[in-house]
Amino acid sequence: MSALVLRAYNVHFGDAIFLEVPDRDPATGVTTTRRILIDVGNFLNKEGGDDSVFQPAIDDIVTRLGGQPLDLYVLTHEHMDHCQGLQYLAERIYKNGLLKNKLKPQYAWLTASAEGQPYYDRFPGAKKEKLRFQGLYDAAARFVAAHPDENSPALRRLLANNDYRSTEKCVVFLRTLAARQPTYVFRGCSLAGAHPFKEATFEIWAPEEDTSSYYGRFQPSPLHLGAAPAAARARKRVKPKPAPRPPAGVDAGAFYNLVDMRARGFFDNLLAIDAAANNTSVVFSLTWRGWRLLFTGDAEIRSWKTMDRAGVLKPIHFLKVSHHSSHNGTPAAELLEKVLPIAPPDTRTRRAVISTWTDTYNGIPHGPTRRRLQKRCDDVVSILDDRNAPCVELRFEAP
Amino acid sequence: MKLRVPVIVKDPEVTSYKEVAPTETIEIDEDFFLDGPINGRVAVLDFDEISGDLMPGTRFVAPTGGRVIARYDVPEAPSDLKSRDVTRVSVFGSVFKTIQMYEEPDALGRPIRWAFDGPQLLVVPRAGDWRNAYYQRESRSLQFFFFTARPGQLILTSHSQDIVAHETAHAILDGIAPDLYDATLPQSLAIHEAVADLTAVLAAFRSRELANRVLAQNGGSIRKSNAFNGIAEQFGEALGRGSLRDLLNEKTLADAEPSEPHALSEVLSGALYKSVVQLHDELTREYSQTGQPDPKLLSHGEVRQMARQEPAVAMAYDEAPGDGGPHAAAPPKAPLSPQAAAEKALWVAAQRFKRTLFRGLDYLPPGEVSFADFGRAILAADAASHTESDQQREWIREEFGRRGIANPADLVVPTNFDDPAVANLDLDAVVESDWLAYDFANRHRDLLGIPADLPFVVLPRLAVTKVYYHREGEKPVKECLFKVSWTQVENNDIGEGLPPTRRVAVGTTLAIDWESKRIRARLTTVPGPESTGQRDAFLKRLVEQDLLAMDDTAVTVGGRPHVGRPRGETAGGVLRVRGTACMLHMVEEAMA
Repeated sequence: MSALVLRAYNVHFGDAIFLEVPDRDPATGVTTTRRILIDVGNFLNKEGGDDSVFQPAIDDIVTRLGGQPLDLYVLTHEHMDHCQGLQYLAERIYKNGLLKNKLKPQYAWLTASAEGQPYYDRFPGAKKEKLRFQGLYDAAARFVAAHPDENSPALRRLLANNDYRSTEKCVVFLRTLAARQPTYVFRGCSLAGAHPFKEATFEIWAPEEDTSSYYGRFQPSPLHLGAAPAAARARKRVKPKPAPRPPAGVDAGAFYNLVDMRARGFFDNLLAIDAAANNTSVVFSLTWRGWRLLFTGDAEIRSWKTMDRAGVLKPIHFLKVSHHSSHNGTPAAELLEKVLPIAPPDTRTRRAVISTWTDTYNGIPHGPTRRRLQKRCDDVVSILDDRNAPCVELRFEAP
Repeated sequence: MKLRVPVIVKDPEVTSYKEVAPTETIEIDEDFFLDGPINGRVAVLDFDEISGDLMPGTRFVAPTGGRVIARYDVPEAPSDLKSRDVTRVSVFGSVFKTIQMYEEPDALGRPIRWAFDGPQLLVVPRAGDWRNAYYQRESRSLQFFFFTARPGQLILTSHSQDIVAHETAHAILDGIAPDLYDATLPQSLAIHEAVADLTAVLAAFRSRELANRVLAQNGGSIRKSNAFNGIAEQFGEALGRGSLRDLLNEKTLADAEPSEPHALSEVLSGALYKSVVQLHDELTREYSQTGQPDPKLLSHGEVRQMARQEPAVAMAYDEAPGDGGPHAAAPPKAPLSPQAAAEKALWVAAQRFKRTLFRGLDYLPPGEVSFADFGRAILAADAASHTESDQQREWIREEFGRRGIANPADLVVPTNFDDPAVANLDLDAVVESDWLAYDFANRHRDLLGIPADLPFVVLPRLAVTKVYYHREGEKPVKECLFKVSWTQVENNDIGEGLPPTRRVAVGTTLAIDWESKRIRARLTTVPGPESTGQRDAFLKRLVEQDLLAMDDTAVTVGGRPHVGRPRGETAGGVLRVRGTACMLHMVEEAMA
């Protein structure tokens, strides 16, 4: 095998990326094929979140492993469309440790904040933001439960994807996935002893270790956040109520507009919560025999700007298009020029992969984003180019 | 129908440590009142903070028997300020206290109009869990949030008269100068903030018991107490920063981050507040020494009017020998005690400053006005109002110069001059007819400063009558406020995928004396050489913090527009930014 092979599996609205990397040990001259699996998950609800897609994907990966261990598993960030697949398989399909036996994961990288309590003890700013996030999430969940007219499918999906209790359950599973203790990665962390590769090299471009800077502006919650313990609040069944009616003397249009805008604050908050988690994505480059591949998770603009300020952006040959080709997953021209310059720095082909699904998330996939990338890449392929294909495969031949 | 309601003074913490009554009463005269409180112009909507349901309003009690004044179902001097009924009625009263200041005959002299399409401002006294409050044009509302300062201590921002007056002022100013709501010039947004803070100070000055107590405790000076110049003290203390903003400051433009509206606002409000302090100091001195203010400080007409407006002051005049003038009360001849002098000086200085500030708002040109534009507007309005007494104008000009806002010479605006364009203008017809107004502006582009090749918009004309004070006493003066606006396109060197150019609103205000047809003032937005860079810096901050929602991406779940974020709209490759005033929450959380 003289090519690095990348497979982006068709898991609908989610990521499941598998890499096979011929890795030559310079000391011995022996080449070993190393395998990396990134994420595995999809958005909840609807076709974009069809869980039946995971088993064929993982079966194919197991076949390609051929009994060899999975060398490295990477969880980019704590969102269900990236973290729920393996936990689902372990709980529903390959139970009682069978999944781990099939994959035999050796090393795992999880985004820094997935360490949980020890992480938040070290970073009180991030903890404060996380708690605010959880309070606002619970308030939004409570509001939606009580107002069936606001309970749209899109909203339900966004709630489900950001449900911190569900993601916590997945992360707890993933912390124990590999044979070794996981490495919680961030820009600047040491990767010594965190993988078995001898030839391929890695650089972590994001996130920053202190993730508090990724939390953007939230809208205020129209509901009291401190009324009851968070878990009880969110789980308590709330009896649905009719929308409030305008009192005598108040213009009905103005009243309903106000009620609607209060509700929209919840929705904006869910998007802000979603963006905050996306921006904690592990963004890493893999350099192999002159190729540089970039895996971005769901990093949004704020993360790209942070990477730029940190001076880590450099030209690449492959881009896993961030955030399922949303408008906010790919940076504006100035930053994009640093990773995919219009004038390529060498003669190698440049490609990008979009893992996405239609009719799942508002405005995704974003057509103009793909067209922008097409101006800078030789090829931009999408899972949607053949919705029935099990995966998209790209080969990076050794020179 | 007249209504009397209790209103929380300043905030519960200040009245507690100043040991004054926590509430005062105000009277409101409106067409009708309903449970809520609700009337035709303001409606209080109290949503339950646990369920989100709308709660039943506080019961309106119509006058019965021989009574003529209505009330709401709360005690006139309530002791339980935490009661929801008291909160609702108090916030309603505070909003009206602010509205009344603006509408008085010697201020705007007309009913205020909201910037949105509708007669009623919605007021939410418990809008949710947050350390903030804001006015929001899009929802036609004032939203007052609450937060837990420490276990068991829930702070309601609707309990702070400073905060209620501040947010109400945003709503009123939006009706007067709506372009400020969409401004990208940080100084324009800072004007919104400074006017709101100064309105809160004026409201505090009117809480007489508190004002007199503060003066008594501070040797008759307003320089030594935070009760006036410190905005939202209880709120600020809960945030761990003393008062939220301090208007008694010496800050200059060089001290403030030029792209941060809240920081900039302190420079402007500081400059103007200083003129109030100076006027109060001088008036106190003169009242206590001679009993007679220098005409350079106040005209005789003002002095007489002050005597009639304020009971305590009138009493002092009644005791003084009269001069037999046409307006009953006469200037006192005898010196007053230091405390009485300070109290009277405060009322008089506040009234004078109210006229200067609020009338200046009417003269503001449309568009993105700078501090210098604002200074020209208030100085022109003051010159028109108080032709004889120009000391405060001198102070303001000096202060603007000292703080680096503008060269004092650049703040001088010609007032009361003839122009053939308006000499025979039928003002009734111009006010009535959009076409005639447009035709007039189009024929006199030079007068109005409208570039020859640009389209423009004529705003609804206002025919206003305000009370002016002259040597001979008070006099109603009717004027026509004629405003035109247009847009200029300038480079937009932001990058980040934004269009290369952007549209900026500018305009002219023409104030025409109805009787004489003289131009009382002409004010045009003058973009300074540094304004483009300041807009660049402000927009870069918005982009940097992901706050600018662009075009079709400015939507939330379900495709509905975002709330609480400025929007960028691209038309013909030119950027137009809307809704930047949403950055003007009580606390500068987003831009901090």
